[in-house]
Amino acid sequence: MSTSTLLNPTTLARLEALDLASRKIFLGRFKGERRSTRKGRSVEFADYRNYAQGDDLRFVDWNLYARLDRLFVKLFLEEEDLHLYVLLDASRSMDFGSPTKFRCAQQLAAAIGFVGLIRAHRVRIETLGQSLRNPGPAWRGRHNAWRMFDFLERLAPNETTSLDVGVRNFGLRNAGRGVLLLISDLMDKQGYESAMRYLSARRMDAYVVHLLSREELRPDVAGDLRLIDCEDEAATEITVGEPLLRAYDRTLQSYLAEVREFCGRRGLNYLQVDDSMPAERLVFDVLRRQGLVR
Amino acid sequence: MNGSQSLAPWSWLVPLAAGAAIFALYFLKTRRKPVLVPSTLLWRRTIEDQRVNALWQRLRKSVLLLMQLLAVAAAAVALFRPSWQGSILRGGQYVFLIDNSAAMATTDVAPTRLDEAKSRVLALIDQMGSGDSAMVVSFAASAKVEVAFTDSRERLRRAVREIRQTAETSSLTDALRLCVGRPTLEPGVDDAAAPPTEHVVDAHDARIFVFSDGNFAPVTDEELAGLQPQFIPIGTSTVGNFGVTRFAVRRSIDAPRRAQALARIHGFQMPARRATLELRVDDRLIDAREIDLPASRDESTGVATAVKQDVLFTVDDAPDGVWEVRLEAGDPFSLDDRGWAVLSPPAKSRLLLVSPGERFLAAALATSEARRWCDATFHDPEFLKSEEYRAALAAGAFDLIVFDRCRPETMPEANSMYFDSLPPGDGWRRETAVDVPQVLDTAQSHPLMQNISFRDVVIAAATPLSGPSGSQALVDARQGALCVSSARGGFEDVVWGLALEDEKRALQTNWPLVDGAGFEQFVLNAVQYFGRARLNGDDEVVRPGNSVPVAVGDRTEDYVVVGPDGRRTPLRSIHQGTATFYATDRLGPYRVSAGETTQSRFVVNLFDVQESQPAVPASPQLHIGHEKITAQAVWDAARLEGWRPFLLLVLALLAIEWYIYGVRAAV
Repeated sequence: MSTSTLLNPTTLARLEALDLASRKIFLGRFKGERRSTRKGRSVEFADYRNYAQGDDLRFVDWNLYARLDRLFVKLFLEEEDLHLYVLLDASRSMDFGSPTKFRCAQQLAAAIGFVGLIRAHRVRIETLGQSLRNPGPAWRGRHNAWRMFDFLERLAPNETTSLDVGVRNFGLRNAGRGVLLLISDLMDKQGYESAMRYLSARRMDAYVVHLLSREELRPDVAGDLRLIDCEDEAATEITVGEPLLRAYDRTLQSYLAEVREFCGRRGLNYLQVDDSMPAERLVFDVLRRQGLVR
Repeated sequence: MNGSQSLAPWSWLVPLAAGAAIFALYFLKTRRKPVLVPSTLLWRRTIEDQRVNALWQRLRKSVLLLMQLLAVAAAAVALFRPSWQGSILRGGQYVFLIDNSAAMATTDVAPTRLDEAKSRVLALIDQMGSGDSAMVVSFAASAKVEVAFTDSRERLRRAVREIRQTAETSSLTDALRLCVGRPTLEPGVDDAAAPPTEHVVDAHDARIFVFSDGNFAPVTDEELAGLQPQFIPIGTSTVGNFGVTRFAVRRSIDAPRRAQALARIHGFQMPARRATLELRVDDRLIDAREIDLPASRDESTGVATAVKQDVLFTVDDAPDGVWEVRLEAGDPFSLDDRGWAVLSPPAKSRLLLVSPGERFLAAALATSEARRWCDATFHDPEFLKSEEYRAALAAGAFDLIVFDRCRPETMPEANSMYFDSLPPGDGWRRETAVDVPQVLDTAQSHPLMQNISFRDVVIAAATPLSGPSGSQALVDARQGALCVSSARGGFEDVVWGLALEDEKRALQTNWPLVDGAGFEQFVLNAVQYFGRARLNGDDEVVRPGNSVPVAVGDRTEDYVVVGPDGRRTPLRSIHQGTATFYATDRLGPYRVSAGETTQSRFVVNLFDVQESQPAVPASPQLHIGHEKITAQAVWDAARLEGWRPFLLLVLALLAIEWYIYGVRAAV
């Protein structure tokens, strides 16, 4: 097993007991461990159909032929792999917090990707700023874990692509369906609504992990301040007092409730997490409760 | 609005520089600490949420800047000394004469003319500059200084507000005299004893404003002719009125229980109208009539004429008391819609004859006709020295005292008549006796000489007389007056220079002395004339503000006069059984009481045709001496300074700015 600074061996060992659980059944690409909508060669019977010329005679149900004097072919369920997509927000706003929100996102992606790999699923990790023509690497199988970890380690929060554009590009790059984990702070001034609508239209089993740092949830500021947005460098002048902090908290709670309701209405799984939460706890506790892993 | 060059051109750079400095300082004033944050999304939403509910909050970010710039702009405008063309009081001293006579209660100017005059004066007081002083005088029948010269606007305003409506007639003369420090003195007060007035002004220094409807007689005092008051007419020229201008009640001579009440109604500028006239005695309705008052204005041409209508009430069983007539005609002036008269019980006149022994006078007073009219008392001249005589005089016991061949030491407080003697005092002189004087004329217009003729009368001897100035000759002969009448205060003295008989009781004239003609007629005239007030209602009209002589006995300390409003005024200044009552400022009946007993009554009526004619002439004028002063509607054109409001605006803006800054710092 490869080692990584993202996840310690103990966590990796615990993760080996998990599997991804999708609420939807998708077509896979390769033979795998998940039931597919495609009829195939597993041991699980699915249906009959009339024999057609060229069908493999091994699947003709001879007992039925003896009774009815007609040829029927037995169909079996196919077991295929699952596509797991992890879409990371690598904007500069993710480089805040302690540890940073981006570090937290890397760990979460590593953990969930590792679960996918060990269950023979196809795992693809991309960032919002990924080029439209160059899809990110996809891995399959346990032996690719170290490549995935290495890929994650090399990512840096310095992209400027907006959430909307990033999600659209992801959709264009990846036509298939599967499970999508979007990890972002959703702090896009152009709004999150368009991106979420697009995700919803893709009919993927999408999870939106809304990652916020402690300084966003409980800002520790005071006095006359000139707040500078790290992404567009826009300045906002405030004089911080207790009434303003209360008003900020009301705005934050209203914003979170709004996002939750927006995602819920469109069949997206919404999770709001704190960057101070360890990745292990995120997977074993939060994602498990949400049904992504079991 | 315009400005004056109160600042040099370069000085304008100062406010401009101040504005620019504030503009710069506004953006530099807060040094904020820059903080790099993941996103300002939520912070912006927070701030916008706080602003979204109020429209003005859109400007909140820059409202402090705006207010500071506004403050500087207002200060600059204040420095510019803004002014506008307007009217202003000029000069240092003003006298405001405010008419509070009866006609000023007319409601053609809402609420009343007096209120309108007061509001105009208050507006002028507001315009007074610092250092200016003013005096407020209200005038009706007499003038009253409400406040002497003062520069305290608050005192002036209070004095104006405290001016009350009176029911008096209007006279400008007193008010103008007061302005020049020559007030009209009460009768009997010596000029030298008059207190010096502190409100004397140089009539040519102070500006005098007269606020009145102009319903007063021309000022004839030539000494006031130099004054040039500004006359501001109050009221309209189209207002009309119906008013009671006369009301009298008389008992019938033949049937003393029967009385006739005559009400005279004048109409001015009114259309024809049906009105109700009520007759009341002691506030009890005893008769009412609907009367058709004729039009006093031609509706088509607008020409106004005064009309007069008399209404006669006859009451068979006339009660004694205060009679009142009420007119309900719905006109805008109500003070003249009522009139009062007192009907006293029938009483005979009281006559005292002081004589050493006289046949014809006693005979004339003994006739049945004379006895019906008077109660005569006879005494010899010694009676004049007695205490009884003095007490009777003090009590006002006699209406007429006849002195035959004797005279008192001092003039009595009663009407007096002298035969063959002269009254005490220096005013009367006797000429040289003449034989057979030739009578030329008798004063037929005098009530004493009614039905008296000296034609074919021969007088053997007589002594011509001359009385004090103002006396009237009742019987005039070629050699001088044989009978003279002279007014003395409220009394009248009649002196004969003719003796009816000599010492030997020989007749000196062929004038019929008995049988109801001649001398007897004269005596009858005398008792009727001097006793008339006691027999009929008092014909003399007491107007508001006039003084009333009140006869009181020797128990003077208990007498009070109860006014129509129930106000009780003790009588003071009693002289020889008569007190003078001055507080006749209200219309209606007054009662003279001693303890709880009513001694007498008198009434105060307006009965003034001029006051009942409230319309202000179309082009009103004041007549002072030979001068005519035209009404002035426009004040002096002047520049009114307006920099103070702008300075106040600066302070207000600074206060508001401070408040907003405080609220924002707390957010």
